[in-house]
Amino acid sequence: MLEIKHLYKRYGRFLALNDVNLHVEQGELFGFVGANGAGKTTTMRICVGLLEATAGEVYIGGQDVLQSRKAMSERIGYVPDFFGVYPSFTALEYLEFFAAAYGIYGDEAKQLCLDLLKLVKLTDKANNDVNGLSRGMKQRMCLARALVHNPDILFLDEPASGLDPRARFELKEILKNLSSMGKTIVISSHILPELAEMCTSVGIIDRGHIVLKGSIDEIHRAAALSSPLLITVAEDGVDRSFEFLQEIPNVHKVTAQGNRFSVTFDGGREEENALLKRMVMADIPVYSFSRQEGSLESLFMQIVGKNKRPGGAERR
Amino acid sequence: MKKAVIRNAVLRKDMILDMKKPKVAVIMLLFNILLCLVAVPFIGMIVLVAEGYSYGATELSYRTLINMYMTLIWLETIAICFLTPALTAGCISIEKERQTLEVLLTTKMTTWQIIKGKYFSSIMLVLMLIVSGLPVMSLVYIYGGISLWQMLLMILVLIATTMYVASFGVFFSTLVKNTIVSVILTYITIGVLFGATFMGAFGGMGALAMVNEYIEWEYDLTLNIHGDYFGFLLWWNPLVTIFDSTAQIFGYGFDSSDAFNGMKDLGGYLFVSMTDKNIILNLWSFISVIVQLGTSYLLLRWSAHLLKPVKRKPHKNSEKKRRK
Repeated sequence: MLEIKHLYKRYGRFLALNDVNLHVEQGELFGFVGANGAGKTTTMRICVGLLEATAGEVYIGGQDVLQSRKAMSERIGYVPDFFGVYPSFTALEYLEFFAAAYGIYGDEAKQLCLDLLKLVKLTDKANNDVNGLSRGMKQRMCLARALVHNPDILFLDEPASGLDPRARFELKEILKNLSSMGKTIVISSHILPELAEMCTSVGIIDRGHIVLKGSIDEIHRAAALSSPLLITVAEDGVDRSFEFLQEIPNVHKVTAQGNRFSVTFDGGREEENALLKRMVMADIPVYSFSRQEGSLESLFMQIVGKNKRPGGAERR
Repeated sequence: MKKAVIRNAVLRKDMILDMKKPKVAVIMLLFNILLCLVAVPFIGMIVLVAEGYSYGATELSYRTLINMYMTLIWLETIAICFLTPALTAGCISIEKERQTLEVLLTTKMTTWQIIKGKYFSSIMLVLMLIVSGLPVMSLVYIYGGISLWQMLLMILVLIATTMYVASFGVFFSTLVKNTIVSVILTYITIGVLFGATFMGAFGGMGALAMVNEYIEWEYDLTLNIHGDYFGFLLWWNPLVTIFDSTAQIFGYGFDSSDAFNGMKDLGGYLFVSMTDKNIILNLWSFISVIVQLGTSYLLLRWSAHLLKPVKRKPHKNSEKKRRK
């Protein structure tokens, strides 16, 4: 459904997007994760036609929407990270205005807007002033607004930010419902665990480049492998172990606390196995060897911090 | 499906929002009170003068009546020049401040449709003021003096002036993000435009006259470079258009129906000496309205271009080549 190919955005000498490539299937709920300034909003704004791309292609249903504004406006629905509502408008009038902006008027528009309000569970607020709605309700109303022209794909920029847990839950349920109806949804956030709860796949962007993408299961597996190895050795083997571990190419950082080591290690199960085997062969008295329980947060931190963190060893 | 009377979504939206506020009614009420405060003393004066002479034949002072009409027209002109920038210069910038513009730009509406909707919705109030002032203006018909056609022409000129001034407001509102800055820039531009066209016209003609004289005196050459063309700068000055329109009806000082004489006296300077180009002078108001509406159209088109978030399509491989 969505295919982003070699997308670049340059501000003078600063490269905000550096060869972004992304593929999202129809009906997927895709989480777009990155730290503030990583390039999530820039990518979204280019996809919805609010920002000029320096180079690249964005295909929706096989059509390059960067080359056709008409196709873009018809196929895309966008919810920015702010509400943008008109004071003195009721929720129904607000939606009817946007229906008119898509050429839908009169009774047809009214019925459509009432249906959308029902979809986002705001039927009882149809005639309420939009300014009087809570944050969560406003967000749902904006979601209904983005659906007014029945787009193929929805882009939601940090929709859950500032929402209380209940509003967040309601939004999540509506998005899952939309996804089950076949809508493709791209949702951005800087909190990976938050998206992991509702998304079917996730892409992580760092400094304008997609650094990790995959299904939510793959991301969970990656999270498990991204955690440090916890190795405990005998007291008399601490010095030897420290020197030994530093020699291993896959090891990025070794932290020792007494006879316990925390080792940042790149590799899967096989590499772990090989490391243990080498330690035993080197006569290091290993008491325990395991991965620390992985979390999405630590995976995210590891990915976005990779370039910043110098490798090395530390002993306390 | 029920067909919508107004198909421009922005225009519909702004009209609904405007009608919800008491602003429109209050401004119309105040404006008409002001018009009445001006018109009633004139009518009173006419009645008193008529009564004063009523020993013999009744005599009406048409001069007073025409003065009333002229005063009302200039009052409306001042209202247009002061109200229009205030009402239009925020039309786009307020959408930027409310963060509603971006959402609007992602819809099917083109920037030209958005600008048109904003433009007409913001001049709507001023146009309503002009129309609402018609009953007071029509007091002139108690005694007669001008035809319906002449009044209609005058209204059209006032509408054209509103449309012209409004286009500057819309333009600056698109250009800057802040409404206050946009309002200030619009007032300054309108002020400068009114002043600059006058100064340009008279200054240009004066300067060229001096050049002619200097060349003749210094080199004994008669070049006679025509500076009269600078007078055409006044086509962009709506005050001159309104002045000329009234002069076309009444003549300047009621002693001449020649608009040219009126403008000549206005400037105190013979700025158009092209007696062979009387057609331009006779059609001055018409031409200047066309020029002003043309300028408005260009300004609005420019605004629509400025509003486009994406002005050029990306090259598919330009960045790859650059990086190679």
